[in-house]
Formats: sequence, C-alpha cells, structure tokens
Amino acid sequence: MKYSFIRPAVLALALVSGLSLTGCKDPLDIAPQQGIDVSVALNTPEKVGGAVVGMYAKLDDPRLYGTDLILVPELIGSDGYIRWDGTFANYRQIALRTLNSLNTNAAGIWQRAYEDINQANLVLSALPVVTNADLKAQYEGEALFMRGLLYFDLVRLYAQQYQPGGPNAQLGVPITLTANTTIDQATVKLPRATVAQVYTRVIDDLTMARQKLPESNGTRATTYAAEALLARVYLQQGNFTAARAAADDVISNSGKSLAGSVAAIFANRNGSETLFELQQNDQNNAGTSNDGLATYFASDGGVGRGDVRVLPAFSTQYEDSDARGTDSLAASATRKLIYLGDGARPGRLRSIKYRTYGQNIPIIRLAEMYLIRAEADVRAGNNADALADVNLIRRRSGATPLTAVTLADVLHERQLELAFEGFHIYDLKRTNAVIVPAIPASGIDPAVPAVNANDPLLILPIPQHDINLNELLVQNPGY
Amino acid sequence: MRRRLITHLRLLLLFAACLYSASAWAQSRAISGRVVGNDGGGIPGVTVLEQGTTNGISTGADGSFSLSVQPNATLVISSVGYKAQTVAVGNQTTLNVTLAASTTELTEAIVVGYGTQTKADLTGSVTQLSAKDVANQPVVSFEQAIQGRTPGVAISQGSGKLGAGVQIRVRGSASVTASNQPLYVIDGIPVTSQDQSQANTDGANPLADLNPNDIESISILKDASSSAIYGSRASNGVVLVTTKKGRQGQTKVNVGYYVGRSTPTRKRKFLNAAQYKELFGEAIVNAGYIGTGADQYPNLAAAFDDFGGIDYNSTSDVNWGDQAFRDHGTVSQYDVSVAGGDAKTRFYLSSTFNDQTGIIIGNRFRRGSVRLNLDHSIYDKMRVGINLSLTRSVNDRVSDDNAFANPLQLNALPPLQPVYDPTTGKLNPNTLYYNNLLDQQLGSNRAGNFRSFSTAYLSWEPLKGLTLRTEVGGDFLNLNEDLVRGAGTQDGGSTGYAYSAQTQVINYTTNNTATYGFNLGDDHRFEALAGYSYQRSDTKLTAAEGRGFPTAEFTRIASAAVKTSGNQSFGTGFAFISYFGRLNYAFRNKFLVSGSIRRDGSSRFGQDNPYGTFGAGSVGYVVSEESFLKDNSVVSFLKLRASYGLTGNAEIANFASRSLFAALPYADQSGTAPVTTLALGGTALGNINLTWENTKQADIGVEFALLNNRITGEADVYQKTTTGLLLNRQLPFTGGYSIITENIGSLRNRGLELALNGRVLDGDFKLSVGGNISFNRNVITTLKDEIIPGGNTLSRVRQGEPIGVFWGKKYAGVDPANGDALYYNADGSTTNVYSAAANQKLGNPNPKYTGGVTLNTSYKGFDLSGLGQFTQGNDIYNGAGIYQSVNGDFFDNQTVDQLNRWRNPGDVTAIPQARFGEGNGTGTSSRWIQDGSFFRLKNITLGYNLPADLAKKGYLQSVRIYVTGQNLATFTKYTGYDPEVVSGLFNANTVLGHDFYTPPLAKTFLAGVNLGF
Repeated sequence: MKYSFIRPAVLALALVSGLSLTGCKDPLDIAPQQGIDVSVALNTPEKVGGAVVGMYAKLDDPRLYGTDLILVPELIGSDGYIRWDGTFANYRQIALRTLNSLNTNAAGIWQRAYEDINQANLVLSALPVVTNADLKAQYEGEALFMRGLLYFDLVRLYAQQYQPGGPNAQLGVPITLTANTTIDQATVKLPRATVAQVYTRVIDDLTMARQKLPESNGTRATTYAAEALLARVYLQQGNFTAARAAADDVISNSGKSLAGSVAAIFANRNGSETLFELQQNDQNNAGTSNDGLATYFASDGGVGRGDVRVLPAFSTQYEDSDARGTDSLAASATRKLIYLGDGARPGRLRSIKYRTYGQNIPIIRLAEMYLIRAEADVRAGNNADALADVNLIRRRSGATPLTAVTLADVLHERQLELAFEGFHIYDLKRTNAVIVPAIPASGIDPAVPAVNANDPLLILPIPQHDINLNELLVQNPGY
Repeated sequence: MRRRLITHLRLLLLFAACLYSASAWAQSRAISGRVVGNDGGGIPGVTVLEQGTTNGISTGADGSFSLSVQPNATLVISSVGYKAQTVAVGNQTTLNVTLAASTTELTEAIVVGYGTQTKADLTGSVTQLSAKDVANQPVVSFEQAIQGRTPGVAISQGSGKLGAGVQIRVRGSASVTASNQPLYVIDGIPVTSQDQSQANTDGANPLADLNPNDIESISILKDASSSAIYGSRASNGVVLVTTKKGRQGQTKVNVGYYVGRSTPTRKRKFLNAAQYKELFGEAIVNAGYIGTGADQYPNLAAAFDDFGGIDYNSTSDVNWGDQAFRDHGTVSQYDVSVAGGDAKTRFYLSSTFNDQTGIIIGNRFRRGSVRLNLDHSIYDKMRVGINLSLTRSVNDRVSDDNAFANPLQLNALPPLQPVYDPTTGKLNPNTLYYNNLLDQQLGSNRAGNFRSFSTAYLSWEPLKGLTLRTEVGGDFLNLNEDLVRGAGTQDGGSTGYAYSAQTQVINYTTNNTATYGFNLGDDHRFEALAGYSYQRSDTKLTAAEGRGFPTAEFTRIASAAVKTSGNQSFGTGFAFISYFGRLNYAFRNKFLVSGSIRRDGSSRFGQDNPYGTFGAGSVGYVVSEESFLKDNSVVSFLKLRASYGLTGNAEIANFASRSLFAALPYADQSGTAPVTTLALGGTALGNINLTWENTKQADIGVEFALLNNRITGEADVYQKTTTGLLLNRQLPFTGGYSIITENIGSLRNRGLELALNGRVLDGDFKLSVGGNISFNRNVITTLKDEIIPGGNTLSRVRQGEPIGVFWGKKYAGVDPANGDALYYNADGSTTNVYSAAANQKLGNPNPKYTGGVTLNTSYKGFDLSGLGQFTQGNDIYNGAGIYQSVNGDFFDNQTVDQLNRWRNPGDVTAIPQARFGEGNGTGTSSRWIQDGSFFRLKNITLGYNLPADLAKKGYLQSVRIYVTGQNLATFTKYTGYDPEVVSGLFNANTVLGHDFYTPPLAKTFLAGVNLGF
C-alpha cells in the first residue's frame, strides 16, 4: 500500500489556502452598524435636518419634557397640591425637600439639557452646509428655540427666582454656545453665569428664533411658539408689558383657537389650541414602566404606576360644575379632568391629562396666553379685559364666570387651568408665595417656620458630578 | 506581506511533501504478548504501537495483544495512568510487559496555548483540572464544578438562578471598566462567554451550552508566561477547555444517569402577622399619625389602609418569603458516550440530556447536547479531525433581582395580605407590592439557545519534529428569548405584554501554527512555535415588543394590537488579527527557558493605535536533576521557576474609539444625535488613541514532590500591575457629553497561592488529602476621579484602596436616650444627622483569602471524596436592607431582628426606634454590612464500583453507583440568604459584595449510576 504524496500535499494546500479567507480588505476594518462617524454626520443639508429632529427627540427624554421638566416643578413645593406616593426615593426627596446633590433627577435634567443644548449648537455650527435659505432660517430658528427653552428651564430650576428691577447677580447656570465634538471642547470648565445673563441669553435666542422660524412648521416649533415662550419668559421676569404684547400677538395672529375642552387637548394630537406640543407615539416615547408622565400620573386599569396623587385639598378648589375638577369616577367613566384611580394604588385622585404612554405632551397652549394677557391686564388695572379672558377659560370648562377679577383670581385660575403642566412652583416663586405657612408653637411642639418661595431647597442642587469636575461651579446653598 | 508569507508556506509544504518518500516494504513478523500491572493482573485497553508508524492495537480484556511488525521494530506501550514504556522487539515473538502506575502528575500533559507541555517542563503557572472534577455534578456550567479546586482563581456563582453568570477572577480584578472575566478557549477557539441576553438585565452564562461531561481537561493560564501567547486578551487569565477524544482500542460505551433534589441553602425569617402589626403599629404611632389632627388617622386600621391598602384586621398570616421557593427543585441527567477507534480513526461520541428544576419558582434549565470528536490519520504523518457539537438549551428564567417580578421580592409583602383573594379564590392582585406569583400563572420568561462549538483541523508532520497545523473553528450562538406577561400581570397591564428577541453571535477563528521540536546532542532540547490567527465575531439582534393581546392564548407579537418601543434590529462585531511565537529550551531537563511573543491588532482600538505587541519570558530550574538531589529519599522533585511578561485586556465596547452619531427618532420623524451612552457600543466621545490595558506580571513559583511523590505541592507569588486602565473618565455634563473612555489609571494585584496534596495511605485503603489557599491584595494605584456607582451602593473605586471598597456613612447604632439612629463624624463622635456624618472606609468586599480542601479515599470498590470551599475576610452589603431591615420605615415586611428596636429611653440596641416614614436610620450606610466569610461543604460523593467479575455477569465492563451532596452545609456569620452573592443589579466589576433580593444557591442531593460496556 503505497501512498501518493500528492494527496496529502493537495489537502494541506487546500486548508492552508483557507488562511486567506479573511479576504483582501483590511480585516480590522469593522464598521459600526448603528452609527456614523461624527466627521461625516453633519455634512449635507439632509444630515443637518436629521440633527434638527434629534433636538426634538432629545427634548422627549424622560429627564427633559418627556417627564421631569413637567413633573419636577410640580413636585417642588407640592404641599397641599399633589403627593408623591411612588417608590422612587429621588422624586420623594424632591417633594419632601430632603434631596441632596446626588439626586438623580437633578443630575439627569442638567445632563440631558446640556446635551440638547450642545445638539442645538451643533446644528447652528453646521448651518453653512444648508444651501436653501428658507430651510437654513428654519433650522436656525429651531435650534435657537430649543436652546432658549432649555436655558429658561435650567435657570428656573437651578437658580433663585429672577427679581424684577434687581441686579439679578445671583448665580444662574453656565452658558455654552460652542458646538462641542472634541475632548478639549467638552472639558472646558464653565462658571455659572448670573441669572440676569441667562435671561438675556434666553430672550436673545427666542427673539431671534421668532424672526427665523416660519409661521407653519408641521408639528415643530413655529414663530408663534417662540413668541408664546417669550411671553412666558417675560412673565417669569415680571416684565408684564412685554409678556402682554407677546401673548396678545400670539392670540391675535397665530390662528390658534381654544379647543372645545381641556381634555381634548391631551387626548388628541396637535389640536387647534397647542402652540408647541411634544410628539410621541407607541414606539417612541419617554417611557412605559419607569419613566413617562402617564407612567407616574396614571392609575387607569393597567396603565400607570399611580405614583402622583392629587390631594383633596387641591381638587376641592374646583366647583362641582368645573370639568377640570373631579366627580370621583374612574378614568373610563369620568367626564372630568381628575378621576379616581382604579389601577395601581387605586382609590386616589389622579389627573387625566397624562393617560396613555404614547400621547403627545402639550408644552405651550393658547389658554396660557389668555391667562398671561389677563394677568398683565389686571396688574395694569385693565380689569375688564382681564375678566373677559379669564371667563373665556372658565366658561370652556363649565366653571361659573366671574363677575369681577383680582390678581389673586387670575393667579388661582392659572393654578386651576394649568395644573399638572409644570407651572406650579414657578408661579409661586414669581409671586413670592408662602409655600407652607408657619406653625406657631403649641403645647410642647415648638414653632415651625414657614417655607417661603425663596427657600434654598426649592431649587435643585448643581449635580455633584459637575461640582467634582469643575471647581468653577458654586453649589447652591443648602446642598 | 501576509500573502507573501502564505506563498512561502505553500512552497515549503510542497517541498516537504516531496522529501517524503515511501519507505521500502519488508518482511513483517508476528509478535504477541500480555501487558500486566504491578499486581500481575492484565491491563485492558493499553495501546501497543509500533514506533514511528500507525501500526498498533489495543490490549484485550486480559491485557493480551498480537501484532505484525517490521523486523527490529520498537513498540511503544502506553495507557492513561501508567508510565509509558518503549520496548525493542529484537527477535522475540512473545513479549510480556509490566507497566508501572504513574505515581506523579509530573508526566501529566498540560494543555497550554496552542500546544501541550509536560508538567515537569512547564515554566509558567497553570492550574489544570480533569474530567472527574466536572463530570456528573449538579451544575449548569463547568465553572461551578471547579470552585474550591483552583488556587489563584476565585469563582463565585453569585446567585441560585439556574444558568446565571459565574464570576471568575484569575489573580484578582485586573480592570475597572473592561471585563474581568478570563478568555475562554474551547478546543483552540475563543468562544462567546459574555451575556447575550436581552429579556433580562441580570446576566445569563453562555458557557452553560457546553456539556461538562464532554470535558477532558480545563487548563487555567494564570501567569504572563503561560498566557502571553494570547496577547491582548490574556490579562484576566485564559481558560482552555479541551473536549474528550477517542483513543485507539476497544470501544468504550458509557451510560450514566443521575437524579436528585435540591433545596435552598438557607431561607430567611420575616415578621409574622402579629409581629408585623406590633412593629408597624408602633412605628405609625411613633410618627404621630394617630390622633384627631388634620393629617392624622383615628386608629391604626385607618392608617394601614390609607398608607398601604393593608387590612389591619386581616386574619391572614402569610409567610411570603417562602412563596419564592419551590418545595424542592430537581436535577437529572442522562448521559451516553461511545469512544474508541483504531490506528487510523478515533472517535468520541456523546449525547446528554440535563434537566434541572430550580429552587426558585418558575426556574428550570434543560440542555440536550450531542458531540462528535473525530480524528483520522490520512497516513501516519497527517491527521485531520473535526469536533462537532450541537446543544439546545432552554432556560425558564427568573426576573432580575431588581424587578418587582423577582420572586425573592415577595418577602417584602405584608403577612396580613393573603396570597389568594378570599372572594374570588384567585391570586390576590391587591398587595402592597406586586404579587409576582401572577407572573408564574400568567407569564413566562424563556431563553432557548442553539449552540455549536465546532472545529476542523489538519496537522502534518513533514519532517521529524515539525508539525504544521491549521484549524478553523466556529462558535455559533443562536439565542431566542420570549418574555410573556399576560393580562393581569404588572407588566402586562390589562391587555398583556410580550417581548421576543433573536440574537445570533457568530465567532470564526482560524489558527495556523508550526511547531518544531528538536534536540541538539543529548543536552539541548528545543521546541519552537510560530503561528497566525484571525478571529471575527458578528452579532445580530432582532427584537419585537407588543401590547394588547386578545386573550391569554395569544402570546406572539403578531397578535399584539400595539407594537411598542422595544422593536429593534441591531448589529455589531469585532475582529482580532494575531501573530505569535514561542520558544522553549531545556538543558538536560534541568534548566528550562521559555519565551513567547504575540502581536495583536483589533478593530476595537483607535485607528491611530490598532496594533500592540505582548510577550513574556520565563526560566525554570529543576533542582532535583542536580546530582546532589538525584535519588534523594526525601525530595523526589523540586523545581523553581520565574516568569515576567506583558499581556493586555481588550474587552471593551466594540466602537469605543469612535465618536458617533446614532439615529434618534422623534415620534414618526427620523433624527440623529451624538451617541451619549455606551448603549450602542460607543461612548459619548470617541478616543482615537484608545488602546488595550497593559498588565505586567511577575511570578515566582516552586513545585515540589516529597517522599517518593507522596506529597506534592506548588507555591506561587505574583505581582500583577495593570496600567493604562480603560476608564470612563467623567466629563462635565455642561460640555454635552458625560464620559470618554481613556487609558488612564493603574492598579496592582499581589498574591500568594499554595497548593498541597498528600497521599496519606496508599494500600488497599487509599487516602489522599489536598488543599489550596490563595491570597490576593488588590489596590488602585492611580485614579484621577473617584468612581462612585451611586444609588443604593457602598462600593467605590478610589486611589489607594482595593477595587469596590465600601465607602460611605458609618452607622454608630442607636442613641439610648431617644432611639435616633447615629452615625460617626470624622472625629469619632456621633451625630443623628445622616448628611452631616463623615464618609469613610466601611469595609472591603475582596476576600483576604480563598481556597478549598479536598479529601479522597477508597477501599476496595468504595470511594469517598469531599470538597470544602472557603472565603475569608470579605464584607457583604445587603442592598435590600434599606427596605427589609429598617425598623418599620415603610410597610415592607421586616426581618425578625428588627423586633429588637429601641422602645424606651435607656434601651441599648442597634435597631433604632420605629418611626413610620421618618427615615430613622434608613440611609445607605454600614448598618447593612456584614462579614461575608464562609466555609462550605461543597461536595461529598460516595461511590461504589461493582467488582469486575460481577459486572461481567451482566455483560458490563464496569458498574458504578454513587450519591452526591452539593453545598451540603454553609458556615457563615452572614445573616442573608447566601454569602456567595453577586447581585446582577450592580456593575459586576466595581460593585462587589452587594446582595439585593438575590436567590441563594441550591443544596442538592443526588444518586447516580454509570454503566460501562
């Protein structure tokens, strides 16, 4: 039995040739399949357009308007209004004013807001590749709108209230206007600008956005959205003249009209009343189990964790006839905006404004403009116009029209109409309200001082993460 | 360049093939004989081979053989467990050979990277385990079976969930952010060993797809000398698994079966209904909730109802903690293997079915596998072979530790709430927290895997001593997961929820090596290895999620009304290209020198830095070969060895070096944004300079055998210094990013390993004892920013401290005057203000030492073996303490020790006054740190082998019956479920020693039988 050497040699060759199965191209060149390199991410008008949409998508992050920019200002100073019943200690700490600088919401809001601000800056820096002038103006306006909106939220949450007529030299938040893509850019240490500087930035951005944005822009920001937001900013500053002018212009010219009911605004999408509405659907939303407004607010069959309870102290402020109040029926049966939960933690009052995971989230709606105009009017002594605006809002919901109106009436109407929409603490702050009245000493119990609007624990701590990395940042008092 | 190399190689092969010419044939002669042992009994199955040919045969049952050989042939007579002999035939026609049993491990072949070496020649530090250590154990994957047997290698199961990840640390944690798990290589092919599960966050172990009964040896490469041949992936050690092969000789058929049952190593005690009412009633009263004020309740019943929906007057008294456990779990395994072959072809064929029902409700693991390992000699210089395995495993999984659906979290439910609603008779859906028994009734969580580890090779010996080997291997992993949460469950809501994921991971590797061994004169022996390897791994994932099913019968996403946000399709991959070489030199078997080098390139690293070179050198001195020790009656063997080398760790995200934009949709509009998390395999900011972590390791070892090999031992000291740690450096959020991966930081592991084995009695009654102990000290030597995992954890990564050091507020007990929880200030005084207390070092989750003890004894047909495992000096933090051992702060049922709370001024106790909702002592602190040391009776097996003549009456070669107890007893001061705990909730690298509703391990008893035909 003689063995040919050919067979083994051929076999060996066949297998050794297998070595070259790696092919000719660089065997280490494995491209990511879900990402494109930053160097080519913004080099065409289409790609810039994608990044513009990305800004809105980020705004729907649960740490931004997807949840926290609405929920957190509701929980801060929520005494006598709502209660956090949920298991998440981070929200409970905010509501109970026991939070510290490691609070995950305080860190998350800050982190995501600056990410989105950087995204806006990236869009602004990439505008030269957009050749179509209209499109370029639109993208610029959208980026400025986004940046202005976020700085406004940051300065309200992390800094003491803007004081009309004051120097407003109290610390605001850092302002960054550069499009960061490198490590050197991303590690620049920024000090906190003053509250005055941040408001200037916000107003500059929104004013420019109002100029650049089109009147109609699908479901995205329009010139009237920017103007309406400006009205909100001016109101927070106590600049009632400017606030009235902006609100009035929006009411007169935006083409928007009040919806038939408040419930309809939240149950439907992009109706006649909203000036800016965060878009969500079943696939892309802020969360369905550990995040999302419906997750926390709802207790409707299987939807929601039932974490936010509406306290009777608040729900009883509505008249029986007011559709914004409650009839103590479940969500499926009620005709009101406050229902009796029948899902998680049943038997407690809930707001129906956030009922499904994939619903849109109205951020600016026309009713607010009427109430801004009314407040400016009543402060200017123009009570008749104010009364008309307030009653417009009240009549829609079946509340008895007022016969005369005071500033307190308008402010109360804001609380009733805009409840659970993220206005609560900001109104209390700008009006210097007492959050919790002082309790005098009685018997052996010592006196408990009042919690006032300027209480240091009614603003969020600068995240410890950034304090550790940037010695220029000064922590808020109390943390 | 590479093409050129291949061309050269081809030419060389052809040339070499031409050199080979057929030898002349001559008259052959017959020879017969018998092979016997020292006792004169015939040894069956001994290989009798004509040296230099494939001509050979196996001895029969009585040890006899007959064979035709060339004139002047030499026979090589060998068998496992005996010293091989070479016998010149000369002109004998009958040949009787006595084989001496090999009494030492020193001639044992140790599997090393791309080859084998005898133990005596080895200059590196390698621990090798054999089939008997892993076969027929009630475990899911083989690493669980070798706990306590591996000096220098700490193995922790971490959880009693079947198929959960197993944590292995070879000589300590060598990295902070990159993987700390070793590289697993099965039959030469690096395999996927990282968790691929999508449906759960807690990891599943892909190594569960390997049938432990198929394993012939496990070799753990610990020092740089042995592991540097694996270059950039060797810093965490390398585990080489070799599967069984057939041997020439009589075909051996083995049929095995075992069956057993399991219970938890420990359950915990929680308050009963009366105790619950007492503690929480007191807590609510203390918090001032009872009274007539606006915020007060008239009585406890009203308060219980409003805060927790709990019926104070309920007659229920449920032990919810025990609801998590089955009455008992079960294990069983059927196993068949057939092995044998002739001089031309050898085979090993096996099939197994393993079925384990866990101690946790809903948990079950099943694995069916087949394997065919085939070797064929095309002619005596050329062999081809193929190893094929196919495994189907199905794991009914337990929810994540942190999920309300985790059955262990049932222990938080008040005993006052019934399991079943008394009015409907169905599971009670209105419990304080989710009654996750509903998940068992209305849902499922199943991970099914098809897996194949397969290789094919060709080896050729064109010249004497030169072996060329090429192999191509694939590891195919195909995981499908179905998570169903029907209507009525927490996740299912009112209409049901389902999630389905398909994950495919394909790993291709080709290894091509040339090994050349030769002698120069009688004194110099050389072995050289050169090779090239390429690995490519591709992962593809498709997942779908839906809500809204018409009825419970519908569970596929196609039937869902709403397809929700979990739908995705995803792909990623990586590649490694490597060139390596090794030279071993021995001078008179006395002086040993070895050096290895590897050059690795990887797609994972920055484009500016894709290649790196690693290597190691080692020396050995076999002192017992010196004339002054030769034939010494005390010292049979003594070797000193030392090694030093450089290895790397490349286990980071696939695209961490790149700055990427990813899709980020806005409702139905498509957008993009910079990647800001690690989720897509990238980081916020790419780093084009990114490269591997470098580990320099020095090792000095001694191996010895005393008293004619009756006592053997091994000791190693090592220092392992890792620099260029791949760390996610924190970036200020204000820059728009949160982290970047950089090569910063360094750490060091120093340690000592000892192993000692002794054959105490060596007659009819055999007794051997062994033990090993390992000391490792880890310290972070350079770290820019402290890493604070945050949340409910105490672990930190701090410069100057061991990885995962416990750091935070130190609990100081209770103020006897008022029942306030106290914490230590920096000056040692105490405060009742949590936030004012100093953060300080609280403990160390890394053990001071770990090890095991073994005992093996046999008498006639009986054998008894025992294994004990111990861990000493590590701390455990029970993360669930803030809920379950917190003096009634919220309605979570409490551990019984909380009854010892402060009640009256002057009470001295460590449990603060119960104050409902007031946070008295609830902050994350050392209050829940305990000593996690334990000694565990890991395994005791008692077996009986039927006498051969008795077995033969049943036409059997052998019969063995045995009983095994696993995790029989655990001695520990830890009061949680099980001190061997690694909760899947936390980062496994940095958050060490944290418990969080983590299930205990199982205590298992089984009985089995093995029949040999």
